[in-house]
Amino acid sequence: MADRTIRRINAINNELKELQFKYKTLKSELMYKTEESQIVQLVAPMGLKISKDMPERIKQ
Amino acid sequence: MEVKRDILWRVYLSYILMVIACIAIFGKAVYIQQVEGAKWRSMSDSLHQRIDEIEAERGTIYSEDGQMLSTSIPQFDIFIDFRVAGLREKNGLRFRENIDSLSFHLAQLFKDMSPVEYKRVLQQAYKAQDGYFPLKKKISFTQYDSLRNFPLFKLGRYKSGMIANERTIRLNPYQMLAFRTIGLARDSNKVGLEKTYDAVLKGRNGKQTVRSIAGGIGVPVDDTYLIEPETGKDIVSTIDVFIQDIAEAALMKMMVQNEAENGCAIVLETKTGKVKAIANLGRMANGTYWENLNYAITPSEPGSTFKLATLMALLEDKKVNLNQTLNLENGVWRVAGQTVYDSERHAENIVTVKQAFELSSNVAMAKMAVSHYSNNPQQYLKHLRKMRMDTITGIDLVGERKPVIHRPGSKLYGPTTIPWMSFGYNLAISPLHTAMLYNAIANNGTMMRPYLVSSIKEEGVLLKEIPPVILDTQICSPATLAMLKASLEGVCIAGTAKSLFAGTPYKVAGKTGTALVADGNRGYANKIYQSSFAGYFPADNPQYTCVVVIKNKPFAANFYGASVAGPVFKEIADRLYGTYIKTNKTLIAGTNKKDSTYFKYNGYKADLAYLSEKLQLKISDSTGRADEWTSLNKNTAAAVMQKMPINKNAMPPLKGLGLKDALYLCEEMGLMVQVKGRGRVLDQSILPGQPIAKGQLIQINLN
Repeated sequence: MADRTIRRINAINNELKELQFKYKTLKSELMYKTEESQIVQLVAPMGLKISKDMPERIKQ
Repeated sequence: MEVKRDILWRVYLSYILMVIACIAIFGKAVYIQQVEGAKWRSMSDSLHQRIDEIEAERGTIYSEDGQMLSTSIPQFDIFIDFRVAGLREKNGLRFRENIDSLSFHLAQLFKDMSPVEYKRVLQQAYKAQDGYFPLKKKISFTQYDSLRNFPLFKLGRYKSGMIANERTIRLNPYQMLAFRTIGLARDSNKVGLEKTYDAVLKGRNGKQTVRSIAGGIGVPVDDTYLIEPETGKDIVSTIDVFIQDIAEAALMKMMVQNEAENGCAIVLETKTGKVKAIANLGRMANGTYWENLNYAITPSEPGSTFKLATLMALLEDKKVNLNQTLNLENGVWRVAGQTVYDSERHAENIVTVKQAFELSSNVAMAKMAVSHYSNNPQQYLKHLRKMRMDTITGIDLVGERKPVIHRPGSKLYGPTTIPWMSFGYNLAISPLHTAMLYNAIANNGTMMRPYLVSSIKEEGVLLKEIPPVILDTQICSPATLAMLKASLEGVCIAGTAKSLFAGTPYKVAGKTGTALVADGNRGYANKIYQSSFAGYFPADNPQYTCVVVIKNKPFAANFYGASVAGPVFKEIADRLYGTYIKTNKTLIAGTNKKDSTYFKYNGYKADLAYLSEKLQLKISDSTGRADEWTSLNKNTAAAVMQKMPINKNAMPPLKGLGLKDALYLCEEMGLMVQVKGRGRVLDQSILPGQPIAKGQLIQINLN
């Protein structure tokens, strides 16, 4: 009984670790791809670039 | 008889020998069990018990805005043992059955070889009975996750021979971003924050006694650890990913354009001294750029940006005032057997001290330094000490090198030291020093220590907050400060950076710098210029201080501080100003024009009425019955609901209807409908109003 529980704890721990790794890998991929300079590069062929104009705020 | 006795005697003898042997064996068994038993039993226990090292997880480095900058993640090297019996049995049946699909999947995952090539390579290694065939190194966890579910590999190690060697690496999601400053956590020669905060990050490995049970799993002998593992703490850096990205992209653009050798850009938050961005780029052998060294903390000759320090000394000692005039000598002046040159000719020779600073005249600085400090160099050096130009900044980054300032008595001190030092030669300070000094001016004379880590956390809970450190509350008198600020603003209005900031909606204060730098033993012959720009913005309420230093390639055509480092500064400043700094100048009045959103939807009345009510749309209803087809129209202030005319023998307008409604309408009339797309009806093959017959085919396109 105890042995089985320990095996289960081990298995679940491993699963948890793996899910954490998966999260970190995917998250870091997303972070890199959503970085401004990456997006600028990606949309450059579409003719988009960062506006040179100062942004304007609208008075409420 | 003789023979019989002889035989009997031999039989007895062998019987007795056997009995003795039996007794001996039995005796030994008893001895082992009873006498030595305790010893052997404890040995057996210890063979099944082992002390496991429990590796502590290294902490994560976060950015100020909560993004992971560096974290631990496993990486795998994949090998195949082609000698395992499971693979070779039945004359390699399992291998032959799986090789095609395996090769296909491998090619799809790694995309570096075609399936045919993979097959060839694998077959070769199989034939050679390779026991440790390297299939792929350094694959990520996601790749490994799909790899282990591939045909053959999913059968496990003993049938496929797949061996995965795991190790923990540090992952920098943003890759090059602030790479050198975040640092490397390799075993030897760590750098950056990984090194500075190693003790905090690494935690402590634990130890535990475990008993082996089947499957190689260790069961803790008792629930206590010999040493409990301690997970490393997380640190939160002051670096802001957005600002860092802007700084790095702006720097990169100029470096590539100018084929520069190396460069750095630093952004400090004026009030606190927090390093918001620190980008370092160096040219690699293949012409690309990478964060290969922390140039920001490496001392070099600063050039003209250092004139601020000289001017501060002169003003503090009241040796000069900004409006007194001096002669620029046509930009050429001999002193102590050497010649001081200005980098450009001047339109006028008689100018005020302020103008000389704005025009970045070396001659003017050297003349003032010689006439006021040549006989009393200690006085000048005392000021530099007050500005902390002679010690490290104290930033929390291991590896900062001490600035180099020659003093009287040193072998390298001579009559040319003071004049040349006055315009930034003959001494070495790091770009971070320059940033710290300019930041002190921006921060009304209060010098802050630049720092990189603002807090230490453990599983999201704040353990320790690291506050800003004031190095000096007042590095110069308020009067001097006002004059220095005016001079720095003057550079951007009337001086060397005039054209750069023409038309900028906010005020910038800063100083350009162009220095000819020595190149190892070749000296100044290679004409390598270091272009720099140091400044802060907006000048009337400084928020950020930024320093850009770029070391150009030999004989670069474009090397002036205002045209190489200046544009990088401007780009960073423009973006930061637009994003973070809220002033009334960018405020525009909201318009009172009517909402121009126009819409038209068709549908069943009850549905549209329900929707309008839920969405609190004001509608004026001009329809009669409740079970009609209607169209909801809005092109004025309120939407109008109208009856949609439906004629049984003519095609109704379908545009704007949902698919369900369109199908209902068409099928009601006996039409056959072909649908393309999804959403609302965009157009229809039979135009509205045309006569229709039962069984006719109609195509509708949805958007």
